[in-house]
Amino acid sequence: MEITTGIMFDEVVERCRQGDASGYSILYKRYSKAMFNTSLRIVNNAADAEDVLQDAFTDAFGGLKDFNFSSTFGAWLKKIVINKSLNLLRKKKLLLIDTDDEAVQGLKEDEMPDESYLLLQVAKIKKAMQTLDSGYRSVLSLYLFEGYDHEEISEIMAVPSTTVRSQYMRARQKLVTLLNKA
Amino acid sequence: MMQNELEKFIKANREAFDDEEPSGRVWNNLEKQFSNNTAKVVSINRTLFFKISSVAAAIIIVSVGAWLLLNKNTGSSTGSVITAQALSPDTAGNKVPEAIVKAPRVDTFKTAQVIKDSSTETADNNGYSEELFYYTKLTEIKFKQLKRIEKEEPVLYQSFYAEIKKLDSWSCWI
Repeated sequence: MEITTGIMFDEVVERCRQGDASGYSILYKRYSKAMFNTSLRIVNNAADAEDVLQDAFTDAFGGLKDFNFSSTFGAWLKKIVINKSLNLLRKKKLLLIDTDDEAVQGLKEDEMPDESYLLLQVAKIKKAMQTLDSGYRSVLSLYLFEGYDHEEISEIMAVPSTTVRSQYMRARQKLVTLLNKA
Repeated sequence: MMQNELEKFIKANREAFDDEEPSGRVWNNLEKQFSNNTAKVVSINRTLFFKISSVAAAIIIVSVGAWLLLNKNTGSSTGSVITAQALSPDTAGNKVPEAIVKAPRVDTFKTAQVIKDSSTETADNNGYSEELFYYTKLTEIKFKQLKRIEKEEPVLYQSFYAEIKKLDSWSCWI
């Protein structure tokens, strides 16, 4: 406990905890852009992503007293942002996870579409991501962009990890198809 | 071999994907929310501090005033005797008997004081006790006001209380 406290200790966070309001602006500047893009990739809408961002920072700043440095502030904030983004999709009934795992059972790794000839560009990938269903887009976002593994995603999205795996396979396949078309 | 192209590309260009900026309204709203909170806390502390310090200042002023009045008859009379002797040697000399003028300094002082006391005491007495009553009452009121913050700010109360104690002990010393 003491060791993690030392490693994750953040002077600015501690300043906020002590009631120094100037720390909030530093934390916002440090994390807002990345968090906004994280949310945007999930909710697929700038206005919603801004609402999520504001909500998440409000919760994070308000809950700093309970923050114990067991993870970094950034990782903690990201979890809040992702949860809020997914909840927003759920509220809009957009987060539909297809629990039929059979469809990709037969799809082996080496049968995945060949991407070697893809001209991979940031803008192209972003655009293709935006046309995906929310469920696909969320799983892809968390796996490809946020660095969570299937187990962690299953926990975050509250679906079995086998579903996450099959969902990811299908999402990826769909994305590659879209990229090839573009 | 090539299936990892997508993952590799995203990993290598991860930062380039975070290119959207949130609008300023997000921070504006947050700032309103959180600077308000802190400002409130600060202003409460500040007004409380002013309240307490004004009460404390009043107590100090009143106790000093009361103490000065209490000592008017003994302490300040020495001063007036000296000035009376220094400024008007004629009148002082006239009133003071010969023996005192010739007597050593210490004796002069003592007798002069006795003379002064006896001449002014009766005139001062009424006004003095009235003033004493007034200031004692005022001290009491202010002390009650200070007592009210004892529960809210025990540390602050204790420090003020200690100051007042110190002041009281000083007045004994002088």
